[in-house]
Amino acid sequence: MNEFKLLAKRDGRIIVNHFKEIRSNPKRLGIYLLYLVWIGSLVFNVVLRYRNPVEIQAQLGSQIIGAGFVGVGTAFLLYFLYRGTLESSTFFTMGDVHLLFPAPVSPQKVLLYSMVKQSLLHIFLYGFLILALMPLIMNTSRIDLQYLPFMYLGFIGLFLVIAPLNFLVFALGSKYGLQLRLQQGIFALIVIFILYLAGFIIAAGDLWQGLLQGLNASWLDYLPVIGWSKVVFMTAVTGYSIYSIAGLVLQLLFLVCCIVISYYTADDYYEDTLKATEQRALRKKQKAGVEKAQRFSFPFSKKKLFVRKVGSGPWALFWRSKVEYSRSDFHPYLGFWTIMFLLAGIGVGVFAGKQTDGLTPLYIVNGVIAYIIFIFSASNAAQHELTKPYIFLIPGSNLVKIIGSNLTDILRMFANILALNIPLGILLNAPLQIIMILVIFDVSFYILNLSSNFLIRIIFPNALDQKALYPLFLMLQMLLLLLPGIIVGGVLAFVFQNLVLIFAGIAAVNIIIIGVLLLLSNKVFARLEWI
Amino acid sequence: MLKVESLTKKYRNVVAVDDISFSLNQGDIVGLLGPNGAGKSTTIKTIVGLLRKNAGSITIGSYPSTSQEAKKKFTYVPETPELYDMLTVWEHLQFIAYAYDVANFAEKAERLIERYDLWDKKDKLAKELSKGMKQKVSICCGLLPEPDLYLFDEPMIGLDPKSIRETKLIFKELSEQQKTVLVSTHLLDSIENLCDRVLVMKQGRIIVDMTMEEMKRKLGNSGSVSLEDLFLEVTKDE
Repeated sequence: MNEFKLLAKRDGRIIVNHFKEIRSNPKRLGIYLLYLVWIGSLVFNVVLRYRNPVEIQAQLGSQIIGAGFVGVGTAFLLYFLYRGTLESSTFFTMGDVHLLFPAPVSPQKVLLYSMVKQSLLHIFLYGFLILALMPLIMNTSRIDLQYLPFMYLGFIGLFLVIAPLNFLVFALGSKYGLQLRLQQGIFALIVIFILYLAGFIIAAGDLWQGLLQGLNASWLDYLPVIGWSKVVFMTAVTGYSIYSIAGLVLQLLFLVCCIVISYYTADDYYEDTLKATEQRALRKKQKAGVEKAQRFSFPFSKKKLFVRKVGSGPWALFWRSKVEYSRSDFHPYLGFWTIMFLLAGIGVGVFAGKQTDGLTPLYIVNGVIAYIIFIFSASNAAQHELTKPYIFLIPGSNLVKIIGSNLTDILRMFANILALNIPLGILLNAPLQIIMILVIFDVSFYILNLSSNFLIRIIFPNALDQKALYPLFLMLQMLLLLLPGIIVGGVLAFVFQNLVLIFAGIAAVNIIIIGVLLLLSNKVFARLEWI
Repeated sequence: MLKVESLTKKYRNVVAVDDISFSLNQGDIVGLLGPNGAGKSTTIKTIVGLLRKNAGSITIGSYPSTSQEAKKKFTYVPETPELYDMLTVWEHLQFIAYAYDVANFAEKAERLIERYDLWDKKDKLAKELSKGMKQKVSICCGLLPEPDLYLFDEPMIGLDPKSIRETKLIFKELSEQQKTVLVSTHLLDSIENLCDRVLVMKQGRIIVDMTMEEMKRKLGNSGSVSLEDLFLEVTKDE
């Protein structure tokens, strides 16, 4: 059978099976409805912004958007080009590796089909991203809605070329032994880009002014990929011109060229895509909670390690995570993120210390950090612990098991928050007790989520359901876990008009909820199943 | 049927397969044995074309192993069954039938899924199957095209006793049909009476390439010695 027909038939069956699955499990329809509500809220936001445009200097707004697009886009492009010298991108699944790759089908046709399929899929998926960014764009500048398709095409034009370009860079690099040369070329581009911006900053005598001028220079519009996409993207902001169409055509031609060159050069690429395909499958499992998500840590691999015994029974779980962190980081409780938090604390402290005399920056930073911690810890290490049998098999108290499996993460977060707040507090002359209240406030949000994970596991034992229902969990967690603290904080703010008391009040409420959740988790632990 | 000459495969600086040569004739059932990390799976994946060789040559029926002509002559059953999550058992077989241009596919597929007790699961999605079931589907996909050469990498891991017996029976039938089989396995007793010949790998090299009788004779043992004994004897550290 013709390769394209074979692959189209397979994908057709997959789509039909998705619909059949929804029919047999209508619960999933609820999830898709939630996504629709989310998209609806994004569109509503866009309409709202359009009807109530912000009063902003037209030229400055368009400069900010143009500079943001070029700056972020260039960083993305250079990063993916560099990654292309180390590993290939993939358009395949492990099913393809084991069933399609050994079959008598043309590898080139398989690649062409898969690249085009992924591009078409991305046209749709990246649409959500631009939709989500629209309120931010409309807050910065007025846009002409009739040219919205240009903005959309300019945005996705940039993203569409990344995967084929990455694949091509790797294929050419490995086929002709050019990896080192390509890396040197990319580093040279990075250096030129930084020097170019530095020149503008020095000439303008101001960081932001220099960046705005440098990233909006008209000659950049002629640069392949980034310049062409920018011209198309900015049509909705600066207006239509013949260059909008020219940029669009050039960008499309570039994408087609990437795909065609990949087609003709990649006749023996199976091994190149193996690693990336395995990693993609692993990420899928990690999202479903079946595999542990990799933490960002120093690439150490200490072979010899001695971690002292911390107790018996369930405390073995605490020892295990200490061993894992000791191996991947320079200390069981301190790591890459501790340094990042420390640097952030010093940076914000120095910057804010010059701007203001009060403690407002300290409160703002901790409020933002607490929110970020809460969002990002919604699915965490404890989830993974439940995918292994040991937590069920080790004899001992359930409560200690829950604490033991989470303690290292909590202590690490405590260390990170201390690293942020101590320099920040010192630089802003904050009293020690306020710093400690804020540290407890931040960490309480982290523990709040960890303690609720066990209950989620009871309600939805299926990992796939958990993945699919993640937005719903997040909403529920926000409502049930955050609301009490916010109410108490609001009351305290109204009565005492004291910021420290609000933070202390919210932290106290969080601690009470954590206690209740831990007791509940202890009760329901017997109903947990190892899947 | 299969000719491997001076094959070398490296992962960066680690030599996984070190200058190995062997050939399989039509009708051979050959066991590829060796301790963990010996290079068995790498050898099979390189033959299949999933990995690129660093040196040497691999031909299947006189064609280079990565050519389309060669690929029509073999099938591969991997160590871990990775299927398409959103295709059913039956659709997997249908897909393989289209990919290999299998004639009378429905009849052959029905026979296979009945042999492996998959009939009641034929409309189930792959993601709903257990690991053992997936392995059965993977074996069925490997058997369906009825090629000249079969490459099995640990095919019996995760299978229930009935399926193991069925697989052994199928190996026998393939041998009778003059098909060639290269099977890598740790379940030595399961292939003991099936293989005409064994290749034993250790640290990327083939340290033994002989028939069972030759092996027994070389080690000076009587007829009661098992493949397990022979394996442990030849792979023990000096």
